[in-house]
Amino acid sequence: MFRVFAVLSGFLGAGALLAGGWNPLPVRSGYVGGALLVIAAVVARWYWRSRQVSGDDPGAAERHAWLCMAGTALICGFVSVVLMTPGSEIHRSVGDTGGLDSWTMLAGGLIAWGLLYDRDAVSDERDRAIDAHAQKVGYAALVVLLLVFLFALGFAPKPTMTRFTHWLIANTLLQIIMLAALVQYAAQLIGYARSAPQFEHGANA
Amino acid sequence: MIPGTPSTQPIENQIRRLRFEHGEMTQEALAKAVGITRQTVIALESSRYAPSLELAMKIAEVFSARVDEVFYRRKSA
Repeated sequence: MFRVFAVLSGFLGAGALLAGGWNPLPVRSGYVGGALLVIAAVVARWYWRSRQVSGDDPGAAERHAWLCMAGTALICGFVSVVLMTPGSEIHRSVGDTGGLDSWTMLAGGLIAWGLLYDRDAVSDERDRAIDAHAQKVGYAALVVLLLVFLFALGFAPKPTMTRFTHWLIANTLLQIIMLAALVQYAAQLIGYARSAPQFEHGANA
Repeated sequence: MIPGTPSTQPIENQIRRLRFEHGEMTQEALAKAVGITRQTVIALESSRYAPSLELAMKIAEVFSARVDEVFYRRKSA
């Protein structure tokens, strides 16, 4: 369970840092974020292959959930900080175009997905049961977040409301969907962690 | 028991013993025989997952045993 929160907060933090101007390389933040996802996929593939020897590597559905959580967290962290920065603009053709960077990160996520794709992967009833439980949790999170946002829209003081342009409301709704998805992926991975045994090395004959 | 979560009264089973009695069948082979993942076989053997009735029957068929010979509920003290 610790690993789930560590990866979640790590990628959220990395996205936030990239949006906040922390970029050690002379390239756009989108490229750094995309490269981060690809490197993470390569490291994960190596790590899971090393665990395959002892038989406690994750299944295809769990690997997919890890990748989706990492990618969504990175983009969510990035866009959140962009939205919270006064005067920020996502859809601009030049300068700090958060939209372009977000799409570049998404492209990195697709490459990472290709690296982890397993043609022979199967999912079974346990995967579906854990996924169904996670979807319920994600749906509940979506409803709660929407209610909080709607309440804020309805009762926020007028000076605050002037900042809520159509553009910001639309992007905040998008953020809410991504946050609910993050809750769903985290619930899914916690479900797998709970159903995973304290593995006895060498027990897999 | 909610699938994927630990239970206070887990469904225990004899899968590991039966695998070894059936020519030291691997977890992978059992998984393929009943159409599940190896990770689910591991979860079943450690009583971390309660299978559906259909899956329980499929597993019992592989070992030519009755469902209650493979799966049982641990009696509380």
